[in-house]
Amino acid sequence: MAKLVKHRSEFKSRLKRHKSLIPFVLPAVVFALVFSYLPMVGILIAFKDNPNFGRYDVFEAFTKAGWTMENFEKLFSDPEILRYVKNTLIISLMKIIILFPLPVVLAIMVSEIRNRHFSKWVQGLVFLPHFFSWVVIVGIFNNIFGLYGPINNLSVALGGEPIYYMGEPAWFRWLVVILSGWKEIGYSSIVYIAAITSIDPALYEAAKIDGAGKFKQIWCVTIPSIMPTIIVMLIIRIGYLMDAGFEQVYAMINSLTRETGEIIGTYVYRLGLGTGSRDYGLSTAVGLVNGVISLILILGANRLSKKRMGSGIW
Amino acid sequence: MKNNTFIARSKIKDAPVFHVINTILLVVISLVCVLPFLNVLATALSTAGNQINFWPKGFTWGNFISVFTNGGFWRAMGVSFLVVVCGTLLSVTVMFSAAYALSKPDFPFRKGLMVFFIIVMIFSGGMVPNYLVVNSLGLTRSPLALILPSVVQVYNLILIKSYLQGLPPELEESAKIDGASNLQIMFKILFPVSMPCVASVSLFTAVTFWNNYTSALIYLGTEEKWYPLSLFILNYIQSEPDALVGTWENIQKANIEAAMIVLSIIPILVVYPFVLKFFTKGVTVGSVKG
Repeated sequence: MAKLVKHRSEFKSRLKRHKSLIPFVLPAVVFALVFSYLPMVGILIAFKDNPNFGRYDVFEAFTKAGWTMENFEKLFSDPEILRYVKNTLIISLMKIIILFPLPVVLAIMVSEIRNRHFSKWVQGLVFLPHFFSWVVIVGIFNNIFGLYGPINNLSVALGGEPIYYMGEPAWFRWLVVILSGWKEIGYSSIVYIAAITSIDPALYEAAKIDGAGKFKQIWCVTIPSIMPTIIVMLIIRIGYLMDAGFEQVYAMINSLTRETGEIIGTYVYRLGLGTGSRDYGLSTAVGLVNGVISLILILGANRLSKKRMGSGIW
Repeated sequence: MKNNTFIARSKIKDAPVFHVINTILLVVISLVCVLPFLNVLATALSTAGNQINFWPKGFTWGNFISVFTNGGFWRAMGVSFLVVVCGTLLSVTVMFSAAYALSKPDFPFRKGLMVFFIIVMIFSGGMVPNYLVVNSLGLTRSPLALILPSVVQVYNLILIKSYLQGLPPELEESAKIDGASNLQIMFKILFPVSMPCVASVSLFTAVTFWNNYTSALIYLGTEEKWYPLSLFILNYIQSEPDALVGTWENIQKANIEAAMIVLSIIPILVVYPFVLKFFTKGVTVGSVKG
């Protein structure tokens, strides 16, 4: 009891001392409340009979609609939605399996460069694509993979038939992986380059004295030294499994590639806010289930990484 | 990169074959990063119907002229600049002042507020609820919809906060003895000292605002008047060319697209050298601590 009183009075004195700081944090709190927390209340729409928000204002439409679980029943039985869940997982897993190791390889290669200017140039060039919007990158690769682009020019020159890659369902996921790799491999390698820089050079000298060649040095010194970083990055990456990349896929997809390319994010947009159908209830329900699974994955990832490394995402 | 590592490692003269192959591969990788940009530039300078690799065919300035005379393009670029400048100023100011309060270890609501902000980072109401809130605030027909919902950038908040916590406490204490208020301390002392951190955070925020098209897509709907450049170009790319109308703009659609893309990446290329400078200072990497 005495402890509690002491704790309370201590809190009061701290509050008194820092009262003048409250206005500093207030704007951020207000913005977060209005634009992040208020929409969380809106999740209740998922439990409503498809409310006709188009015609009434939000509160009127909300109170008029009845409560229902129909949206969730539909969501777990509709083969169309299940296909988009499958697409999301396939694209996400392809990105992880194919793309995750490449920044590590690139970082090792970059850190082996001896000429400082060459190193600066290589880094400057490989980080660059990260800073362009998906619109720019999809626009560029529409041409690269287009009927008159270099890829088709090459295959035609070799006697093949031109292919409209951007409209081929069988190619879509591969293109997503290729474009994503082109944009992000360089930038993702920064973390590993930084980790390699902090390895003690004496370790390499020792390995050399033991007669280790270049590959042996990389295998026995570099990789074990950056393994903790690799593991944490992998854990975090898996935490974002449910996010297959809305901005990328939305910019790439067209009516021809919907079957293999539509992911949960683009479906939620098309269903809720796209032209034509406006099913707020179902769209919110799909978004909610996706969000909750993501939340669990990210919290798990953060916990795991804190346990292994002592530092998490936050 | 740390210089001492460079010097120490470059003394090791071994495996010449490895280094030759490594260099060749890195040159190839760098080319793979650059060639697509050459292709888009070549396409922007070509007439339609040519097989274009990395050099223009049927050279013309017509695509650029067509974009220059397109009022919508310039309007969208203006909107983008407006959003980048206002959005970055507002977001960084709000995040900096919040970070200032939260950097005090005995600020009474510190723990609770950090949880409050981290929830913002990892969970959201979803597209439809976000849209409905912005809509009922009457923002869906205004460029404010592109700015206000993106003001809270929790990652930046954490970055600035850990930077401020790393500053020596004497900095503030001496000012406090002189009777400076919190506002004076923040603006006159901490803000200038934090310039490397603030500059890099601002730069990254600006690039994010410039590239983002999702906000416009969700909140603006068909209100094309306020489309930022990114969504304007995407809209143009996704529009079906009307093959029956044989105007120059229709035949040249892919090439005009390329010209728009080239023009839209120039601002990024202008700030890119500064972005690179911050990497070498290590301000952005590995400085996040709770």
